[in-house]
Amino acid sequence: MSTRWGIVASGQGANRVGFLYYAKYRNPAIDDRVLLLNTTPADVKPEKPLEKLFEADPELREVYESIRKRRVCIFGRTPSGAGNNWTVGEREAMDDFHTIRRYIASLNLRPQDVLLGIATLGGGTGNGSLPYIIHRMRTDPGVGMEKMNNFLALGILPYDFEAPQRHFNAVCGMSRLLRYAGRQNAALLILVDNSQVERVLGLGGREDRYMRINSEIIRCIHMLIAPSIYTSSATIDIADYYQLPSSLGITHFTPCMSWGNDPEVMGIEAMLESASANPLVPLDRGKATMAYVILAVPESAVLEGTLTQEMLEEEVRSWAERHLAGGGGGLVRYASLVAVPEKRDVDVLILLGGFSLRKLMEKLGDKYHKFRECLTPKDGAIEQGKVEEIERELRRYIAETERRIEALEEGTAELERWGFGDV
Amino acid sequence: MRLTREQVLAAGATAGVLLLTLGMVLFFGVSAAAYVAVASILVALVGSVAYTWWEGRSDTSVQGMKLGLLERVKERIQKLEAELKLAEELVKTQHLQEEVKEVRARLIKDGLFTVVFDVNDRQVGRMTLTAIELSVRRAEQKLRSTEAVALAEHAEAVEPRGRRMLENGERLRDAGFRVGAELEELERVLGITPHSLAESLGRWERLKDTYMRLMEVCVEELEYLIEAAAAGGRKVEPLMERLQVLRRHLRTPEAVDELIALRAEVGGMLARPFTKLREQLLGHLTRVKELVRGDASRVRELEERAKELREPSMLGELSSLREECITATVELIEGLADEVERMHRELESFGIRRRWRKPQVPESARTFAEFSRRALRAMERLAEEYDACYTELKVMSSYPAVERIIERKLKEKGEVAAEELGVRYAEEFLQRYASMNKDVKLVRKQGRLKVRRG
Ligand SMILES: Nc1nc2c(ncn2[C@@H]2O[C@H](COP(=O)(O)OP(=O)(O)O)[C@@H](O)[C@H]2O)c(=O)[nH]1
Ligand SMILES: [Mg+2]
Repeated sequence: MSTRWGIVASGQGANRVGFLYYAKYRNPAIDDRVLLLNTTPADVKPEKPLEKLFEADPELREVYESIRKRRVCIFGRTPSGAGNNWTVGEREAMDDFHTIRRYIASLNLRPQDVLLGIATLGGGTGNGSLPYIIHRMRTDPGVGMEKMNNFLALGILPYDFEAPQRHFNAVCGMSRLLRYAGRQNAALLILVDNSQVERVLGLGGREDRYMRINSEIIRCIHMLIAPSIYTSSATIDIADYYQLPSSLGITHFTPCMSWGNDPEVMGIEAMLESASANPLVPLDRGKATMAYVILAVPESAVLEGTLTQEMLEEEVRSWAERHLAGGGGGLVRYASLVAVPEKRDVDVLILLGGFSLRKLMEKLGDKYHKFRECLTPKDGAIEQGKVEEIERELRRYIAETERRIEALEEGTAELERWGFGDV
Repeated sequence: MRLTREQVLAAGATAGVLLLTLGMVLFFGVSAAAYVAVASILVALVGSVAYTWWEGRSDTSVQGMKLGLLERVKERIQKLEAELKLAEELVKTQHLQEEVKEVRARLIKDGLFTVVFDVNDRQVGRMTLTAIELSVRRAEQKLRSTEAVALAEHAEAVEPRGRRMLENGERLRDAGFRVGAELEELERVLGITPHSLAESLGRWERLKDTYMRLMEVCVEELEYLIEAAAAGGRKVEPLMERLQVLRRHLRTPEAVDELIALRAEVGGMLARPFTKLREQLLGHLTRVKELVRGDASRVRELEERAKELREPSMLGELSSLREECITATVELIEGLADEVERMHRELESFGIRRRWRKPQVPESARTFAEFSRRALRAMERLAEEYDACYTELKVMSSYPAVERIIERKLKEKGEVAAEELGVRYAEEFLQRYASMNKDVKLVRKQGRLKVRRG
């Protein structure tokens, strides 16, 4: 039985991404299991975030209408919009969890299936609700999904130029998706940074900038799901995505992509180089510990044997030695060749994981603190204690990540531990 | 004493009427009984007439059965007589024909047939069905055993003759005649076991027909070969004459030898032109195959077919293959030219204009050699241009991706070598990069791009 995927997209930005994926890449693995969650004031239509999409492509409105009844969930007791405050988004989700739960249950996922949660981390609704929803589903036996482990999350980070509050939200959201109530939360957190995507795509600030970024993000989602749709030589089992990271306690990843490579021109090595030059969050090269490589290639090339799993493994190994921490090829590595019928070029997705979060915190840190300092202890909306716990968890997580990187970099010291003395 | 059916019926009817009349007198009086008596008499009259008619009818049906039996045996006798006559072609059947005559005489003697062997109607009407059946059965038994003997002898006689036909056919096939279908038919018919004399006769006729057809196929083939040789300027009149003679004696045992001899002679005449054309065709196709860009299946198919023609006597086939080759080559050239034009348009969308004139496509030529020379020249030029465009297009469409790789390497080390890129057409990419960025220079000999200093 092949793996099914479901998508839960919470908040305005996430709604756009989730819906766009459903509209553009309909496939058997996802079927119609896309759930759009939002908190909207009663006088605003739930499809408001999607109006731009409908303008660009009127057919999308029909697609939306076809799922509106079963797949669009407005939650919250007194929906008034989260107002960019994630604690409000979280509170609405808590208070109205039974509504959310009913919609999620209607996706009919089985224990071996995957649920991908999407939220923009700069906002209030998605950022507030998604970490809580994942936590609740994983821990509350009353929900009936505790057997399922495959809760992946995709978090979209705000532009560099956005307000401190958004950055404050983002740090909190990241922390709460990684760890919640003292325990690991999403099995895998895939991070994408709006500014970085624009840099990678070479975009200037334009009107339809979200559209371009979202297109890039949904391609990435599609590559993640591709092994569940098409035949692949060494299918990346869905469990492979999260099991080792989960047990290592390091679960953050970012996609690096390179599309439309001409297999007659680009060697696998060059394609991997192109992809890894384009991480979707800012990061230091050589400071990652894990990599999953997925190549979607023309089926004909696989049948003719011009692209083989062995070739890919070999190239990925030498690529990993050059790009992962410590020069030994990293901690965890998978490579999968996915044969896509009627495809003519090669798409590459490298999910780079366990990378140093230094660059990211450089981006988020200043504005985070600017906002954080304005929070007075008396402020009713955001509890100090909660914020401190969130910071503590993230600090611990970052330290653990760095420790793993260092351990790899000091690889040779390992022999000493086994009593070999100086080698 | 046994009563007949009529007597029982009459007695029953009389008793019934008497009882009924008695009942009427007792219950209704005399006048009613008189009516009943009159009615009864009428009913009895009508009933007896009907009964007689019905009886007569079943009499005619018995007569019909008798006649049917006799007609059948008569037919059987006449058929067997005819078959035995036919079988005389291969076996002696005089004594068997005598046997049949005896059967006939016996039936006449029994009074069943007249002397001219017509059914003797009157006599038959008087005889019982059983007696007739007995006679007929005896006659049929005799006929059956006679036919069995005839069948065995005839089938035995067919066997060696059929084998010989097959052997002859095989010799002709081995000599190169295309008689596969006819041979198969001969084999098939020989494999059938006949279950009646008629079947055995039919089988023999089929064998003869097939064999004659086989011989005629050979003659036609020879005629065709001789004409091909004549077309090649050879003197063929003596061969033609011999063939005409042969035509009239196809059934003779010598016909096969003569066919084989004639074929060898004409084959000798054809050998040289055949070999020459075959080599020309194969050479042409090999080169075309190299020059085709894209699907070469049509060329491969033509090549296969040319290779399969190994017999000089197939010069005719080879000649028509040559015509196909010419058409195919012209079409391939046109296709290649279209493709090149399409690529030119695509390159123009990248702002690249290539200087180029489409080569002439040969329409007709005096000889195949001349056609081949001109066609290949055109194709070579097209293929060369195609390859150049192909590379250029590949470079253009992948350039943005490779450009980023080059940039990164230059930033890291100040230089980049072609083989470091891990891409095909690496030198073309470097060249293009150098032409677009004045701050780097291409060291051609090393295939390396360097950032200019100063
Ligand atoms: N990539 C992407 N980012 C978005 C989109 N819409 C909003 N954002 C970002 O999300 C943040 C605002 O969150 P939003 O989704 O509007 O709030 P929510 O509805 O309260 O979850 C900002 O940082 C925006 O830059 C979108 O369509 N695509
Ligand atoms: Mg959101």
